[in-house]
Order: sequence, then structure tokens, then C-alpha cells
Amino acid sequence: MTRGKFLNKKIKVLVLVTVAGSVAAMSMSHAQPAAAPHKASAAGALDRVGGHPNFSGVWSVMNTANWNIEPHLASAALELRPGPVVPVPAKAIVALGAVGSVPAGMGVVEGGKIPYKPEALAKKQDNQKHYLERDPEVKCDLAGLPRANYMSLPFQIVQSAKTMLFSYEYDGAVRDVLFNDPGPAPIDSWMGQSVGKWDGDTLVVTVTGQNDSTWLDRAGNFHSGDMKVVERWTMVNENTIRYEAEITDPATFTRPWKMSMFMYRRLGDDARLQQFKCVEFVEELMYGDLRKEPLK
Amino acid sequence: MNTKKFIAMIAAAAMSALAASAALAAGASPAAGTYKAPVNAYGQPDLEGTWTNATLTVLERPKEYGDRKGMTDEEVKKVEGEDAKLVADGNAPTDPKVKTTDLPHDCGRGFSGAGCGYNSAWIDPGSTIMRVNGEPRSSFITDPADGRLPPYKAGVTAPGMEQYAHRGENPENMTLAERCLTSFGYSAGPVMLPLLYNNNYEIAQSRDTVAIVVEMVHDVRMIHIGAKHRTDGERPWMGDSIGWYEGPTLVVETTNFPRATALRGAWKDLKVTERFTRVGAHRVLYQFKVEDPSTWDRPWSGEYEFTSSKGRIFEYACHEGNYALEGILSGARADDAAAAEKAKAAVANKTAAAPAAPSGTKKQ
Repeated sequence: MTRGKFLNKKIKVLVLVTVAGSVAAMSMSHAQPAAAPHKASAAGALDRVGGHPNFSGVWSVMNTANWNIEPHLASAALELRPGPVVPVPAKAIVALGAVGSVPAGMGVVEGGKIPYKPEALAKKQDNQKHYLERDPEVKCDLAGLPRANYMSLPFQIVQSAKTMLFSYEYDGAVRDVLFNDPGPAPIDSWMGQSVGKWDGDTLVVTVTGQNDSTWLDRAGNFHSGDMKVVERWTMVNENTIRYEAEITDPATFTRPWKMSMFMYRRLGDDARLQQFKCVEFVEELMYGDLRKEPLK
Repeated sequence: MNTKKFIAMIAAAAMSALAASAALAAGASPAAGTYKAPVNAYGQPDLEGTWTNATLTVLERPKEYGDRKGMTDEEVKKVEGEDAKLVADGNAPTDPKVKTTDLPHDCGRGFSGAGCGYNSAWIDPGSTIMRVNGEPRSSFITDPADGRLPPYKAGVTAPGMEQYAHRGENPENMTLAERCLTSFGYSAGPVMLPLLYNNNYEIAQSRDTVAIVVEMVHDVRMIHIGAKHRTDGERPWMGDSIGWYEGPTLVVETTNFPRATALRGAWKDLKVTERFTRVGAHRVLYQFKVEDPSTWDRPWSGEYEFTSSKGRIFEYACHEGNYALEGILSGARADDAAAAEKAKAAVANKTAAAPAAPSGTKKQ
């Protein structure tokens, strides 16, 4: 059974589990603001706006895709060095202890493996060896897509009948979904250009115009500046989105490939996007050696 | 009208009634006109779009206008004409042989010497005087009557350059803009104020949230409709904004400002109330009221209009391309090294020039 079929089969189970879970969560949550975070709907009916499913709300994944989109067991660190017996964490990570280790995950890549070209696979493996200096997340750079969607931090969708804005907690990134295709992006950017259309109740977003500086995860998976991402966003119930992204990048991969996962609505007090302006948190890393009196 | 729309309108009406009882109006209601503001699918006043507040009008009124908030046609023509000349001069080719020390002492807008590096093409502060309901304005502030900030309370002083006394020593000693944490000026606000360029904003509305995307540093103001202010003592960037609708107007109240983004020195007890009202297909009236009893003896308030901005907002990835901060700090360290070398040489010269003590004598 392919991962896609497996996920489709799981949806029905998840619908029941998630609805039951969200009802329980709502009854247990703290006092809510006067305006409901999302509109209560009749059983099975999705809230809609402008005739389309209303994705408005705060969402996040519950997986380890940002650590590694491919299936992986837990490991000691994202960057390892040879040890006398087994590889050990890179020197800069040692002090973090268990916090610096990598949690396991089933992966989100359909089929399990990313179809890299041989030279691209070698680069990916080299990226892993130099994780600390190369992962743009370490320096608080904008994450790009699809990675921004499955970082551990949530994002908020603000949707009306004519507008759809994605606001990400990580680094305060934003992207508009443009429903009037303006043509090719006039210039590359970190978050690219998102053009949307509706396929029934599924929102299809084509992302192009991204630069080649972002990664797909913390495991060194990368892409070129010619990558095209076609996202499919489908609400399987009012609190769950099935997310699928098809990646096309002939410079890096032998064929188009897909990732898929679920995203979950944040409820109660968790349904408020926080700020993670990490730029100031990396100043010591990036500029510490340029202080008048560098710290020892 | 379908059931959902009806329910949404009832909810909006109930919200308006609640809000009216709160009596938090920042300013007078916009003048009644024939324009009927659109309502969105949630039954809310539709404020969505891309907007700009670029203008030659400034927050505080130049003293020559006294208590006049309006400007004559001649005054408008003079200010806009002088700006057009400044732009034309700024667009003139620069002689590549000219050194920074040869640049004009004053190239306008507060820039001089090496600061003249921005040709006009790089800036976009607006080229026209702000008009509110058609009336050209000499300042945003309308109250006090002189269009200027009220005096600070006794013992409170305006923030000055002393906060940058250690500039260049550490990244934290640099401005928030140089560190790519927020814009220079006060673009995101609140109060949202225009600056040298990138005066563009996008407003998006869902049932419970109004998001204002600020072009500068891709800041996003999240306004929580119908929510209450946080009481946990935490002070997020740009403060803690809640909002509600009063008829055609979105009212936003912001408290819990952080010290880092103080408004003219005020933050701890600062409350800013903003009112957004669509007054034309391409105009949103923006009114604000600023209160901080520990900073000023009285509130101050003002207004201007956003106009629709053609096109969309492009990504302002500041940090990712911030070569300036590294360059400034590196330059400061180079200066330190040069100064240390100079001091060392001075000591060496002094030692060499000092007469040798006669041999066989004792110091007294």
C-alpha cells in the first residue's frame, strides 16, 4: 500500500478521533474570548466563506518532519562526529545533552525516500555533516515552502471570501495566496510566490520563485532555485487538514515526488499565534566575535 | 440573505453594541457622506486590500502653521513643489569621482554628507500632502490644537541619542532597524506612521482576527476581535491589540507595549486606540488616540487617510541580507584597532622623546 492510500484510509478514523478529541478539548479549555475562534458547524459540515471551506485558524503539525522529512530513528544529534566507538554529537551540540538529540519519525515522503540525483544526494549528505553552519534555520532565515508549514511552530490562516493570508510564527514569515495569477514571479524570494485555485473543496497552491537558500528540513534535504511546489490543502473535518505537496525540481531530483501529512487546529488558549522574532536570538552566534569585548 | 450571513450580521451588531458601551472612541466619527462602505462575508466592514500612508505630511505640525490643521492651496503647492525639486536633484547622476566628503552638506530629509548615499530612486516617502476628507493637512496630530505632542510630564524627558551612546560596541547597542527587528521610525506602530520608504500595508480579515501585514520587516499585527487584553504581564512586539467593530469602523485598542518599541518614550502605561473606517473605494480614514498618564498630562490624537496601493507587497527579507550590521561592527572594531595602534605609537614616541636620566643619580 502506498503512503498516500494509507493516509486516505486513515482519514476516516482520524475524523472520528479528532472530532471527539476537539469536543473534549473545548470543554476543558480556559474561558474563551467573546468571538469564537472558528464557527461551530453542524456535524459533518465545514464552515465556509465565499463558498469555500474556511481554513481560518491557527494550525500546526504533530510530527517530526522539520527534523527530517524521511523516515528516521532517533539519533544523538543533527551533526555528528566520529567517536571511539560510535558517532557522537558535534562539539557545539554536546552541552545540550538530550535536548540536542533528534526525535524519531515515520517521515512524510510518499514512498519513504526522496529521489535525489546522485550528485544531489552527495550534497545532501555533505549538508548533514555541516548542519550547524548551513541550515538556514540556525541563522533564523526565512524557512521557505513547504518547510514553513511543518516547523514545530504554528501558523495562522486569515481567510475571507477574497483573501487568504498565511502568517507563520517562525520568524514572522508571511505569504499571500494570489487567486489572480500575476505570471512568473518578478524576482526570487525566500517565501516565493503562491498562486491559488480551488479544485472542489481542495485549495491548490502553486509556489514558485523561491531562492535556493532554504532547506526542506534540518537533515540537509535541499532544493534548487527552480523548485516548484504544488500544495493541496483539504479539510477532512473542521479541525484537521490533509496537506500534500508535490515537489518538482529536475536539477535536484530524478522525478517529481510528494510529501503528505496532517495539520491540526489549535484550540483554546493555544489558538493564538505567538511571536518568534528569532533574529535577535542569533546575534551572539552571528556577531558575537565582533563585539568590542567578545565574550569568553 | 442566507442564514450564515444573517447570523454573522447579528453577531457583528451585538459586538457593536458591546463596543459602544465601552465608550472608547478615539476621535469624532467620520463625516457622513454618500459612500456606503462594503461589508464582507462575515458581515464586517470590509477593510481588506493593500494600502499606503506615504505622504509629505508629518506627525507633528511645523510651527509656522500655528493652530491651522488645514493648508491653503498655495502652501500645498509650495511643499509639493519643493519636494519634487528635491527628488529631481536626488535623481541627477552622481559624479563617480566625487568622494563622500565632497557630497552636499545637506541633501534634504535630514541627510547630509555620507548619508546622502540614497538617491531618490531608493526612497518612496510620498510626494503629496495628506488630505483628510479632501482637506490638505499640515500634520497628523489634530489634538492638541497646535498639532504637536503635548509637553512631557515633569521629570519625563524625550528619548534622545543617549540610548545609542555605545553604538558600535555590541549588536544590542544598534537600533532595532539596523538589527532587522522592526522598521526604523514607527511603521508598524501603533500609531502606524509613514517613513522613508515601504509605506505599504495589507489588511486581511477573518471572523476573529484582523491581520495587518507591514511591509517593513514583514511585521504582522494580529488584532484579536472580541478578545480581552492579556493580564499576564507579558509585552509582545507592537503591543497587545484587541479590536471590535462599531458600525462601519474597526476599533483597535493596544496596550502592553514593550520598552523596546516605546512611542516617543511612552510604553509602560501606553494605550493607543485606532479607528479604521472605509470612507471611499480607495480611502480608509485612520484615526488614533494616544494615552499615557505617566508620560503626558493629556491624551493626544490625530488622523490621516490610507489610500489603496497598486500592486502587492513584496518580501522585505531584512535579516537575510543584513550585511550592514556586520559591516558597521567590523568597521567599529577596525576603528578600535586603529585607535589602539595610534595610542601605542604615541606612547612609543613619548618614551623615545623623553630625556634619559643621568646615570648615578637617584630619584628624589
